[in-house]
Amino acid sequence: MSAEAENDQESVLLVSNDGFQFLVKKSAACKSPTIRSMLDKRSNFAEARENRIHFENMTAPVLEKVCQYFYYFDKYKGMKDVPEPDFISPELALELLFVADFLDC
Amino acid sequence: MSRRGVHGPNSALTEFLREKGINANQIRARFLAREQAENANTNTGSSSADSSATATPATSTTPTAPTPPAATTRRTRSARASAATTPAKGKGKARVLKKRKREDSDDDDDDDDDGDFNVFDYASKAPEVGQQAFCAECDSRFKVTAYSKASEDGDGLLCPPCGRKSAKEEKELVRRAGAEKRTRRVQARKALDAESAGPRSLKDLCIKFVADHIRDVEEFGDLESGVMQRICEILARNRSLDSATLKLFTVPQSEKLTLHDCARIETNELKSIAAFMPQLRHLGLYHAGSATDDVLSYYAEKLPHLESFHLHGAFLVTPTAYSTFFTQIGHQLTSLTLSNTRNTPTLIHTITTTCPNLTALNLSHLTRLDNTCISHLSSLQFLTSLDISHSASEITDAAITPLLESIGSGLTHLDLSGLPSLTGLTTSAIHACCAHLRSLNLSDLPLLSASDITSLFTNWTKNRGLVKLQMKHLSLVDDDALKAVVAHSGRSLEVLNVNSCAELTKEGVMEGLARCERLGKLDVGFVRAVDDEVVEMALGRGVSWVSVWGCAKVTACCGIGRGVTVVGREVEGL
Repeated sequence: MSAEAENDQESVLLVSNDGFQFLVKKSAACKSPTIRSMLDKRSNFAEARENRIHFENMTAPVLEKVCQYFYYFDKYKGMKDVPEPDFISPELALELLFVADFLDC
Repeated sequence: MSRRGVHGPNSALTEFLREKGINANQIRARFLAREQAENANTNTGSSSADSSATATPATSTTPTAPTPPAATTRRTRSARASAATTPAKGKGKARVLKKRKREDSDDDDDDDDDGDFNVFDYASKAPEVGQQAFCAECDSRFKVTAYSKASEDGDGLLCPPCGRKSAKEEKELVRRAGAEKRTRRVQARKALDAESAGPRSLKDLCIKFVADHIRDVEEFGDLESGVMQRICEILARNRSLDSATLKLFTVPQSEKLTLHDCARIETNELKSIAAFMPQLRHLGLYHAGSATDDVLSYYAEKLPHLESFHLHGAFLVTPTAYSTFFTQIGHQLTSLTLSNTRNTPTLIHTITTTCPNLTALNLSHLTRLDNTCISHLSSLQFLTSLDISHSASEITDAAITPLLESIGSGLTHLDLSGLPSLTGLTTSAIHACCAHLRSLNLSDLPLLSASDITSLFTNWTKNRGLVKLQMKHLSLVDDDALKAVVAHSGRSLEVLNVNSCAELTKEGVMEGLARCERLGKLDVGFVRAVDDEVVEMALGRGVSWVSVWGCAKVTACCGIGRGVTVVGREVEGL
């Protein structure tokens, strides 16, 4: 999986702190300026070289919601009538808010 | 004009022009000179036989050939129109006709023309209107008109059939450009009206979700208090801490509450904090513009355990209400902040008499904190932390010196920033009295000289060394002063701010860094001499946060390791 992600420049591998991996379209993930700067080739960060980001501060359920948001945003980008997202759940809302602040998205 | 320095009332424009040194007489003189030169030119032109046709384009700056199609149609057309009527601009249409006639009749003029035009660009060599030319695309012969189009590559003109073909594409281009412009305009308008297309940010969605489901607070689950405090800060930063989201943080058992932005919390909601959280020991309210006398008297009644109270920007609260509040619960307060609010010398006196147990007092950004008020503070014998920065009234050495003499020995934190009248007398009082000082803020004290700083830190054996020192905007601080600072506090210093100390040199800063053993946070913004080497050295010595705003010599090549932060590099903004 990881080797595949390394070669594939179109997608990026996001890893939660409990080891779950999410392969996400890079253009979608770059909605977050934090991720964008992590993947910036000029910065020469390990994340950019390996095309893999390990998030110490996110559990799998939260990271899953984040990935869902990336695709939700990608799908409805620039459109007028955007449906309300259905993936936010009460028990994760605050954690998600915490993480959204970190990702600045 | 003749009376220098005396001006009547002027318009803003006149004033602006005068400031920029733009003078009507100069402009007139320049215009006359230009006109004279033009006259001279045309005179020679008409006097030398057969060359008037060549002289006219020489004086005009507009190219006399149709422009290449890279430009939009409108521009091409206007350029072409001007090509046809260029001479008319200066001397009237009669000349154009004359010129055309001459071109048609005198064929032997051509040689002369070429000779004269060698110095000019290609454009002036292009065929004139009415001449015969060959199409650049299909090589067919045609008569040049004002509407002939230039070919794509720019050399030669197109015959009407070929021109018509390209006209369609050009029109399409213009249409597309217009559409793009319209979309941009619509987007700009939407941005201004805050109605953006597309989904909202994840942060907004979460905040909205939380606000909508605030009734079922239990469902959000238990997060540790540190995380809740952080979430409160996030909401405040998003300016979405309001009556709905406030309910998240009014947990009855909690003893501490800090709201960094109360601007959208109404008076009644502020009051309800005391009703929901009777156990509160620490309460901090920032931007508390809606706090009133009522709120304060309610707090005095309902918060029996309050020890630490911080209120920022409560403009509506009157000094009388404060006085009543402190008379009621002042004896239990150990930490107090009152900033950006109304105050009177009497109020400060009340605080000092009713709150004898204060250990921390912050009276920053008050409009009427003056020498009289400062003299009252001498009675607060337990004070360890004092902040009287940025007072709008004048506070002088005459008040600070006796204050430090009476309570200076107990102080560990002192903030005197933004009190522009303080001089070296204050620093010598600090030197003499403040034996236990750990944190000192001397920012924005323009009268402090380098020697004041040097003598403060030289032979300051009483003091074991500062942990935090801020010397922002002390433009006179030089290498020697910094040397004295690190000689005294180098072993203990953890935070150092020398922002805008422009006199510092690279060698001075590096020498200073070499003697700092525990430095973690460094602000060298606008110290122009700082470069990559200095930053790398700082990071190498264990500094984890460096601010380098305005240090143009810090480049992208600067080696920054993991876990450290360098803020404000110029390359990052690009």
